[in-house]
Parts: sequence; C-alpha cells; structure tokens
Amino acid sequence: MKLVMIIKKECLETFRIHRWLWLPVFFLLLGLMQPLTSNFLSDILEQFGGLPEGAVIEIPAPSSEEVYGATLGQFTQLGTIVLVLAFMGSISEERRSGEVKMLLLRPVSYASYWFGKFIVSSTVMTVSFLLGIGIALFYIQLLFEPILMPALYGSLAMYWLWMLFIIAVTTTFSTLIKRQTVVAVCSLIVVFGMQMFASMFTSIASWTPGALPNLAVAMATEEIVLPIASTIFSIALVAWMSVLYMKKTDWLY
Amino acid sequence: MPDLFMLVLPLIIIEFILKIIAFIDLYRRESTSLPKWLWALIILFVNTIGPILYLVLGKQRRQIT
Repeated sequence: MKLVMIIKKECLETFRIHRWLWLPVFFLLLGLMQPLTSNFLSDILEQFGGLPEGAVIEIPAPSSEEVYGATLGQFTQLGTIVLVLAFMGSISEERRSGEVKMLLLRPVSYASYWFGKFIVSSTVMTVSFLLGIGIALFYIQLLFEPILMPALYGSLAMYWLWMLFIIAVTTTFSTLIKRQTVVAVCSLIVVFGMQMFASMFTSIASWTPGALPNLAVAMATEEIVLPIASTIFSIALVAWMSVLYMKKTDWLY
Repeated sequence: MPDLFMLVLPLIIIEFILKIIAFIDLYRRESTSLPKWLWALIILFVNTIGPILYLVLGKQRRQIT
C-alpha cells in the first residue's frame, strides 16, 4: 500500500515537471530522424555538402537492419545522456531540498520509497522507448523493407533491459550523492565505461551488461543468456545496495 | 515513395507541441532560473533542444526548511 502511495505521488511529480511529455517526445524525434537521414543522405550531401560541381557520389541504400542498428546507436549515445539527465535528480534533489524528511516521517519504508521511484522512472523510460522505436520501425517499413519480426522482439527486449540498467544505476547514484551534476557524471562514466569495456574486450566481457546494446544492434540470438542474467542480477544488486545504504547511514541528514 | 512533406510533417507537429507547452509553462511560472525573456528566446529559436532545456533546467530550485 505504501508503495502505491509513493508511486502516485511520484506520477504527480512527473506530470508537474512535464517529464511525461519531453522524454517521450525526445525519443520520438530520435527515432524519427535516423530513418529519414539514412534515406535522404545523398540528397542532403548534394544540398549542403559543399561538393564540387559535377561530383558524383554513389551511396548504396542501407538495408533496413542497418538503419535499425543506427537508430539503436542514436539511442545508445544521445538516449543514454538524456535518460541520465532526466533521472539524475529523482532522489538527490528531494534529499537536498529536504522533501524526503517530510515524506519519510510517515511510515514509509526506504525500500518502498526507492522502488516507487524506480518503477515510475522505468515506466516513463519504457513509454519513451516504445514510442521512439515504434516510429522508427514505422518509417523503416515505409522507406525501406520491413524487418523480420522474431529477431526483432529479442533485440528490443535486450535493449529495454539495458535501459532499465541505466535507470537503476542513475537512481542508485542519486541515492548515494546529493549533488545532481556529480550523479550525472558518475552514472554516465559507469554506463559508457561498461559499454566501451564490453566492445573493446569482446572475448572476456561478453557476459557483462555492457554487451547488451551491441547484441541488440546485431540482433543476436545466441549467447545472450549470460549477459541478460548478469544484467538482471546487477539491477537487483544495486537496488539492494542503495536500500541498505539508506538504512545504515544517517541518510536523511 | 511517399511525399517528402508528409514524411517530415510529424517532426514539425512534435516541434510545435513542444514549443507551445514550454511557453505555457514559462507564462505560468513566477520565477525561473534565467531571466524570462532569455528563456523565451531559447525556446523560440533553439529547435527541439531549447524547449527541452527549459523544461529540464528552467524551474527555480525550491528549499524546504
């Protein structure tokens, strides 16, 4: 019951600061731009590229899988940054302004407070992600060929799990640190670091959460059990750690 | 091949909605982190990122003691 109360309050807050609006819109734009630019790349180069008169460029039309991969690549770069910036203050800002004291005076446990935040954040993320990737797929099947469905579902699920991991990391840092900028920097370093580590040392790091976005781009169907399991495990671990941290320290002050 | 204008239309509509919402919020808010006229210029002239920047950073930090 306490969890429901926190979720309701958090939803209200999310509406009040228009996060329900701008995060989905941003992902919508990201998903929209990539297929369009891929399709009209040669026209754009001709118009604005400053090429000499009479230059002929042949750009082979990308396959729909390539465009899908490029869209996910956009999500991985800009999407990650925006997700972290959107949720960096979810806990730290309330802690800084002293709102948590008012809230936790009532018999609300730290765990339900943390999970309430996490659930609402992930819901906003899920809606944004689905909208963004949905419009990207719509444009891809309009401008290119439709993508085969079964491989797509797996890829989407893997990518969603990776974004859930980003939310978990950001919320955890938000619990530990009071300054929003430090939260953002730490979360971005951890998330991008894990991902770069996984793509540089493919042989030893293929089981880490950082491998998930690359697997999703490649629409892999094999050797995906370990990274998925390790990601779920890491999310559970950071959740448990932050609740423990809140309990063991003078977190309210 | 569908018409180029129809393809870009959603982009324009989204942009428009974003700007309107940001402006309504700016109008209603008593105080913002930067001067109001500056935010108005940013929302109007910086496409996409401008309104989002306002919605993220525009509000004044509050303090409960």
